[in-house]
Amino acid sequence: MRNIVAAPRPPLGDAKPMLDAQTHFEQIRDRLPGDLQARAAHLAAAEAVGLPTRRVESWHYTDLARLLKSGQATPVQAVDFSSVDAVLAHFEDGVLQAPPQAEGLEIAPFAGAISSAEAPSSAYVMAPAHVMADYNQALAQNGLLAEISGPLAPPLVVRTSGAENVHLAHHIHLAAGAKAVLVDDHMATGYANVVWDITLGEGAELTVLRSQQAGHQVGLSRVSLAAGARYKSVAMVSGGALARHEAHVTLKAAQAHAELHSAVLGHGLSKASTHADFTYTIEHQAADTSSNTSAYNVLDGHARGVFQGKIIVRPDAQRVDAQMQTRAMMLSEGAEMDAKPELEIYADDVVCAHGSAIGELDRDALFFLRSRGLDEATARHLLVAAFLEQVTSHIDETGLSEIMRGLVDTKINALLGNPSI
Amino acid sequence: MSEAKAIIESEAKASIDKDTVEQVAQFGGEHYKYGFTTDVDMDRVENGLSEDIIRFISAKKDEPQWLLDWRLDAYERWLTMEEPEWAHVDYPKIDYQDLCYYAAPKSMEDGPKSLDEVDPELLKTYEKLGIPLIEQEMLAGVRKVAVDAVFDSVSVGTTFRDELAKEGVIFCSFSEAVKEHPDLVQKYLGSVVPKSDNYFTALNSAVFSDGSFVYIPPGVRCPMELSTYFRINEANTGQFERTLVIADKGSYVSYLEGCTAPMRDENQLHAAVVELVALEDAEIKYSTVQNWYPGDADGKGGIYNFVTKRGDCREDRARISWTQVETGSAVTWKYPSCILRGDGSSGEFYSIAISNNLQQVDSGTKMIHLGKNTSSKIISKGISAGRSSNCYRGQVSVHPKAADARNFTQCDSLLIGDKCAAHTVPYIEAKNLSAVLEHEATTSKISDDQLFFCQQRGLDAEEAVALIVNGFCRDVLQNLPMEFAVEAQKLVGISLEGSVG
Amino acid sequence: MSALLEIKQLHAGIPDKPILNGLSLSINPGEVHAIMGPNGSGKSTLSYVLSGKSGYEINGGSMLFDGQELAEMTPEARAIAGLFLAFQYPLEIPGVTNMTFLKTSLNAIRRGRGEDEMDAASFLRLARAKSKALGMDDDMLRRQLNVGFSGGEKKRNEILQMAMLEPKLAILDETDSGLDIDALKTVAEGVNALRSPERGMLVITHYQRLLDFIKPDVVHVMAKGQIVKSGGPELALELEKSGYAEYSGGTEAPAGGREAHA
Ligand SMILES: Nc1ncnc2c1ncn2[C@@H]1O[C@H](COP(=O)(O)OP(=O)(O)OP(=O)(O)O)[C@@H](O)[C@H]1O
Ligand SMILES: [Mg+2]
Repeated sequence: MRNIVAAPRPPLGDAKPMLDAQTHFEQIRDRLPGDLQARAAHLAAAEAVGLPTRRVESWHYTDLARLLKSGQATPVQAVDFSSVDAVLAHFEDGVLQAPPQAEGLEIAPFAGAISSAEAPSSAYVMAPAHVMADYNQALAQNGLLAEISGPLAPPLVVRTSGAENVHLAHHIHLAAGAKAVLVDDHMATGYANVVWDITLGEGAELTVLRSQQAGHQVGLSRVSLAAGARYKSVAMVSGGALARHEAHVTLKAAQAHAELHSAVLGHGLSKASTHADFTYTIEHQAADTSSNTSAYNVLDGHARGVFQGKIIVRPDAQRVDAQMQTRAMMLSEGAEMDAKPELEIYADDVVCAHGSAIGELDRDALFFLRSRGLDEATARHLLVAAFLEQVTSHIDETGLSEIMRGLVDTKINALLGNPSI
Repeated sequence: MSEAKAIIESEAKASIDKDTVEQVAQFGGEHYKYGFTTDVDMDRVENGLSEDIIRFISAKKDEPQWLLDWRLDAYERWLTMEEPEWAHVDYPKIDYQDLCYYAAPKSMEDGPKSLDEVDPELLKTYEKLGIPLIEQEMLAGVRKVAVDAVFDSVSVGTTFRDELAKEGVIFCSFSEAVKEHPDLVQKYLGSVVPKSDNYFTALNSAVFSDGSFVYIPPGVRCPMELSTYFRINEANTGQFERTLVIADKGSYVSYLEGCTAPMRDENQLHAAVVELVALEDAEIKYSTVQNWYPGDADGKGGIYNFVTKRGDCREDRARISWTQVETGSAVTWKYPSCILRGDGSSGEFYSIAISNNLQQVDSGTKMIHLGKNTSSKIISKGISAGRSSNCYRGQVSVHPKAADARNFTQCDSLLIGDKCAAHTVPYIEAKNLSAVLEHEATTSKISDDQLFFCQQRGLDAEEAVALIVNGFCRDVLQNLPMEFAVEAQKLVGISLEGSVG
Repeated sequence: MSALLEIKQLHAGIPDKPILNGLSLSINPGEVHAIMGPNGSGKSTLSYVLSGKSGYEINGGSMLFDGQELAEMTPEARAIAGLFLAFQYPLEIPGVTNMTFLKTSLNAIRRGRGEDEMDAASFLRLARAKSKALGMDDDMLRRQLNVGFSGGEKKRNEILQMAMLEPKLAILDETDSGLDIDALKTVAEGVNALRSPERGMLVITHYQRLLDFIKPDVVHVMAKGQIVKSGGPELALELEKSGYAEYSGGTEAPAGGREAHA
């Protein structure tokens, strides 16, 4: 597979057109498929609310307007998936390079779906309403509409690259019993508003591996799980000025299970620093469902990590098991971590817990390693790697887990230097 | 503390859960035993809020101009503010023009000089509440507790004043402090909770009527527990008291607060402000047993308890500890907080919040770490039963200059029955590399097996629940001064009455 | 002499699953009975049904304790009447100390019997003496009920509660499992100390070893929710050798287990 290096080129029009969506709409309207009137309506709805400010509770720690003005487009190295025979859906500046092909995978043309009567497909449009989703619906120029009917052998890599401002709307549906691994490889250096609507049929299993290395991304995943379905997301943010990864996961029937794990390796000084925000709502609508969430943040420079996780257990959703852990390792003065792990419980026979621990690199552990002969740099590297391994260890797919571990390692090297291990 | 005292105290502490069941059994069947009303001639202004009413209250109390101006400024700000809506509580809009902002027993008009002159009807009220306003020693001569009794808008009397004065401790009603110690009041009033901190503090600052004032001089360890007992009696009034506690350098005080109100079908508003100032090496322990009328089993009536409590560890090594047992009120909105400004200062928050029937609680704390080497600890135990809703909301914030800050938070919810709700909303903010913040939250229920186990050992279901819940709350109960611990224990049992079938 | 416990043709189980299928058993004052039987045969269920745990249905038969029908009594009323169950899996109650629990339980039972509650000093003395006899140090009394106790400590703690409450009938459900050999002896001593002409014991166990220390008057074999054989202490020895194979077929097990004894 070809390594793609995104060429740094100036984005369309104004440097940050997302601050002016109306203008952006006018600029790209000729390229937008589907019903322009419906889009204009979504835009009007979105503009009536406007970009979320810090006064909106779930955006309290992420000052969107300010962050959109920060950062610089530094090109990054593409992750090499050649060792795992992946099928690729590559969106370069919003343009799908070639539709992916694999057995059990059916791709509908985006333009076709969006122009149909119930554009893009009412089944996919799920609550909760969300202003960023409205912007997305108004401005989405492309997306992957994938129907996965059985076990999908190769991992499906959805790569987003380029420097333009893009809005992508992906719809992934796994039929009952289907199984797939999806990789969301985000290396675009521009602004990207990406919505993933994911539905899992009975007993379906989806693993999503995410990597964001660059750019400003506002991502929203809306995932719904039928009985016995399993959803696992393992995300890694290793760069970019803004990584907002929001997920609304709804467990609708018994034995559905969701896991969301995230790793952040944040760095950079002042305006060039990483702001990584994982905001989850995990809603247990049915009895006998379970979820497990963990967030590991390594924060250097002026990086800021945000974790907001809300577990909701609806009335009568008895015997729910929901666990949530947040960890942050602060490596420098000026780094910041904000955590808000919430529980909202309406049923009594449940096992729900969250824990959060924020601190420096463990000095005792560092000392221990050095007393065993490791130099400080090596010891630090080892401890940071071990910390993030808590996340990468959730990737069961052998080839992919090596690729993700490799990525983590490269990034730790870039951050801490490359000691002799 | 003498050894004998220490022994008795530790035994009393050990009894914290020991006696629960007996006490609960004793009180069984009796629901809200403080629900009676006192019939005395009242002096009350007509309902409504305006500049005139504020001038009226201020004039009633013979206040200096600066305080009137302060009130009016607060009122002006209040007019521009909006009632907060972010809490996990839901209640009908309050009509602030339909409340009475000043009500006092007529007999207090000419300001009785001593407790002997106070209307016997009022004294009887406090006796009935278990707070005799005579200078008696509690627990067989071991400890004394000084009491300031606030009845609707005025303080009825304060005990042990002379004995306290010998040590230089000032303990009096707020109105009196304004007259007798204007410098202290002017210096510290609003210095911890600014007038316009929030909607309810602005309202309180405009119309507060009375409350308690405490000043502990440098190096003095207050020789007895101080306490204020708040009683709302009049119908349709709000109570807006103001408490100010100042612990000067190297001093220590333990302060207790209790509250009750009659059973009435309409809701009543209580919007208090408590400010604590701890200077260098000073320590303040502030405990509350809040047992305002919670409303009936259908959610009719009860107090809206919207309270702002904040302590300022203003100088190095100051310590402030909040302990609260919240069992009453229809709606509670309350976040006793600590500003850890001085280096090496520490804050603690221990809370038991029980909600039953249709009660709603949104309570927690804020620990704001500003100084170096500051530490805080939060232990919160929420118990929801019936159809109630119980939310812990807490913030731990470490500012960039607060090197080596430490926080430990343990936040547990216990659900009794499947119609209630328990929420946990912590905000954890670390802006300093060396912060070590730990937070743990769990939810659990009383298991049928635990209940059966207790029953097999002879306890009935309600006794078993009381025992298990007291065990769940143990970490917090142990932190209360013993007089209150026993009271609190009883309350835990009583407030959960009818929660198991 | 009328029986202390008289179970006749007891049918009980959980909804849609019969577990006890016409079980009969009679224990006279002063007697120690042992029940042995394969896993899942219903031994713990019997102990729960006797002590009134919710979730079990009684579908027939009777259980008279001291002449009173147990089925109609609440669990605490049964405890007050003198029925004690040492749980196979003792429960933890965080935050409640062992001492508090003992006192609360003892006084609840005394109150229930119309007796005076025990004052703090006598209680303390009693608790200390009893725990000492069971080789438990004072620290155990101050710790939270069963929280962090080892398996053996929990079992010992059950016996302490029994010793404090002095029940008329004690049911010990696998109290020996998890005990080391010394603990087994002390626990057995605790049990034997309670043996008296008025009291009865029902000892559920898998091992003959316990019965070396607590000599039973009668040994029953339970299978598929019935007493399939009863005999003297020698029956336990037999079982130790041959196992339960003979009983697990079970279809033609003798109805009822009441055989002449005493
Ligand atoms: N609440 C319950 N729900 C489902 N099954 C139950 C329940 N209680 C008992 N059983 C079943 O009833 C049977 C009898 O169980 P019980 O615990 O009485 O056996 P036991 O003889 O004590 O076994 P052991 O020697 O292993 O302790 C088992 O098959 C058990 O699984
Ligand atoms: Mg058993």
